[in-house]
Amino acid sequence: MLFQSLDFMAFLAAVLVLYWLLPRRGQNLLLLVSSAVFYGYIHPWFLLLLLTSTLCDYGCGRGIAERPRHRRLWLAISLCVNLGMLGTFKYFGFFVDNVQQLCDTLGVPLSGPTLGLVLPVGISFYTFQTLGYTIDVYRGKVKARRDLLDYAVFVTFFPQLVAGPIERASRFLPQVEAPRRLEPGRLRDGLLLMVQGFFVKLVIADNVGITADRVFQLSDPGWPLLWVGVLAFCVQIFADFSAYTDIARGTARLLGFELTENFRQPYLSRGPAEFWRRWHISLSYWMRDYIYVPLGGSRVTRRRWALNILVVFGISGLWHGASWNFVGWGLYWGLLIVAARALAGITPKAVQQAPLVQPLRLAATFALTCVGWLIFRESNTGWLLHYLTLSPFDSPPEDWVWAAYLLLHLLLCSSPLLVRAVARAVLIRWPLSADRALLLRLLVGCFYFTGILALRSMRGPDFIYFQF
Amino acid sequence: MEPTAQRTEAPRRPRQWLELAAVLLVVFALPALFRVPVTGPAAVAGYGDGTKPAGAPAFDLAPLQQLRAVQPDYLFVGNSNTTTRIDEQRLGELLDASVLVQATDGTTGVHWYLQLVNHLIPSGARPRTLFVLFRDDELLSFSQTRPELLLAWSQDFEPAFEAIHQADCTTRSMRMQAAADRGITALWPLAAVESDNLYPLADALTPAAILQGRPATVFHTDLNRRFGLGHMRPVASDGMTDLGKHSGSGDFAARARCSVLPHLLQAAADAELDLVLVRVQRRTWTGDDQEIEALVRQLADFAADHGVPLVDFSGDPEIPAEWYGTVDHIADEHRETWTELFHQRVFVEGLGR
Repeated sequence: MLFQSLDFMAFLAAVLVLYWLLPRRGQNLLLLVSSAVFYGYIHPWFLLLLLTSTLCDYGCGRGIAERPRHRRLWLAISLCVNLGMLGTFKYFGFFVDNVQQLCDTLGVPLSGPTLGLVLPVGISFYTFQTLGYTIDVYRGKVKARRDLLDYAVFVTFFPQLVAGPIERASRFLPQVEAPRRLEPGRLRDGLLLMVQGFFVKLVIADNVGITADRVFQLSDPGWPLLWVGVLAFCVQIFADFSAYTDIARGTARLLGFELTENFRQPYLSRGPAEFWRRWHISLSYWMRDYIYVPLGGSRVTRRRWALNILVVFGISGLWHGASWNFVGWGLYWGLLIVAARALAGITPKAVQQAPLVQPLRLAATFALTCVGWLIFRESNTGWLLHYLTLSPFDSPPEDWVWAAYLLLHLLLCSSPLLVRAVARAVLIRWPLSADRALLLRLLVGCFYFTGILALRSMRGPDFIYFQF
Repeated sequence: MEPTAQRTEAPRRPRQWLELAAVLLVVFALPALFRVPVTGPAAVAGYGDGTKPAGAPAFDLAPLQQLRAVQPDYLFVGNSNTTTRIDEQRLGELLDASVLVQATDGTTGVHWYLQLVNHLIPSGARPRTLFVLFRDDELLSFSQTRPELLLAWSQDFEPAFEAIHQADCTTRSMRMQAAADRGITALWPLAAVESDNLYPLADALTPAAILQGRPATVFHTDLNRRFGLGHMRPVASDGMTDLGKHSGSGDFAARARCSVLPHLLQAAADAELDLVLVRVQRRTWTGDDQEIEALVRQLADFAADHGVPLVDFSGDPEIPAEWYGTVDHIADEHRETWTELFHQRVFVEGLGR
């Protein structure tokens, strides 16, 4: 079920009314049933995978708790089942294609098996979430849960099931197990967050997405058109994904839950490492805790640390999709982080922290982020290389005109994001009284909702991160 | 701290409910008062009653006059997949006859039906064969693409459209969606606005140096041309769901009843025209889409029952992927070869005849 559908609105209204009439146990049962309806709405068979992952990690958690001598075995089972599912549904076709290509190159034609599997929505998110639980139980950071219902709600909670945030057991399971009270303040905040999310998705992401899609469909984009397209994608992917998170967090609040923050104004980062502390935070921290730290983290030699970073970001890229451009995108970020650290090592602290240098760092990080999004967006290596070799001096003059117009359109579409970023900075410095802050939020909410009514794009594609 | 927090919470709860009420009022109720005059493609709605709405463009006589002037031996009707496949001159040479392609981008079965009843038949031209080239379900959709052509090619009253309108062609989900849309628009009239309102805003903000003296409409026409099919990457077609995606879902009989197909076949039979339906292959065709293939088989049977053959080019081993240009079009340099293949299949081998 899509958040931006009327079906979801009707579904959520019905769930909310019932939910707040029930005791905690009933609420959790309702959450489980409604999550199954939400997830299996279009492809009911996807539920089998969700059920497998849930039962497997519940069982492995119990196994680790009750048979600690075989804890490694239980962990291995969890890893095999979850990564096996992910590998089969997400990476099998990619693997076969590459083996075939390799064999063709070597002059040994090979016809490999083709499964033609549909990628189940959200599989990358929920497998990582359940895997995180089992690893935490293995490490003794989280107690293995006895209650299967509570555990199933943790895995299947519908607001964040399809595109995160990837929740941690230590943070989310206590919320599932605690009684929840109907609090008007939470309802108010949840509604406002949802309205904001819908505005950012329908008005900003979907409108700028038209420019990005059109530019990347061109056979002969000039340099200015290409980079306006990349900028448009840069805004689109942030607006799209952060909007999903806002709607998810808002919906969760209506149900009495608090989800992890996933974005903290990532385009205001002043370095690649900082970008990843602000972008898709729940994935970044998952990677840090479950891959980077076990590899030794930063408590190793410099060379080994650089290798660790590349491994982590390579995996992160592959997590986004079974395509070489995603791997390249991950490695690109890994290289940037390694290079930034090397640069920091030879630059005096005073220079690094000088006020005049900060805007330069911000601009440089943003420019490098845009290059990253170009790698992310373009799955064809030939086209990617073509794009990277385009020169602004060889562009048709008319392309500068179209680019200028589309840039203006892009700035207009994304102006609410810019205003929001500035307003946040101002309000941190000069906070408003509670009454004025509420009034401001009401007016902004009214603006958002009016914008949804009058300015929403009629294009209506899915959220980009559904494909991961 | 905890007891204090609990003591202060009690009196604050009524205020929190008030704040929630304020959110509902200001955020959701206030926009219900906003109204703007709705201008849009209302003209198309006139077809719902089977009548041509007031203010519609004058009837387009040009195709009719062309038919009278050319008196073609072979006439081809379709959309851009026809113009990019049929080389009039080459086919004319091969057949030693006059060939005319009257195909228009973005059209579907509804338009082709109008061309038959309002252009070809009244023109008095009697081609030996009328070929209608289509993809998958294009003859079964009553879609509203190119509404301006629907208006310009139709008479004031189209009995076929009225018949389709009278048939119950809506699904339960369509009716539910329409009811929901009506409800939302009743609550928030602003929701009726269905246009890209950010473009006029951008136009208003655009400096004259960018527009270069062009009126906004001319500027947008030029801009659209830059992003037109002629400038697209071949692979871009994969993402062009509007142009490339067809649906085989639904019962054939129900879809035929809600389309112009029976009317098209009947009109051709009444005019004693030799009609041939030609299914062209989509670039992404693999034959794996069982729904579409079943639909086309039933379409062929239905047409055969009316004495109309269907030639299917899908899966033709002589058409390699390299022939394709943009979307499902055949690239310019391969049009002549495709035409020769068409001649071979239809006129030499007599496929579907």
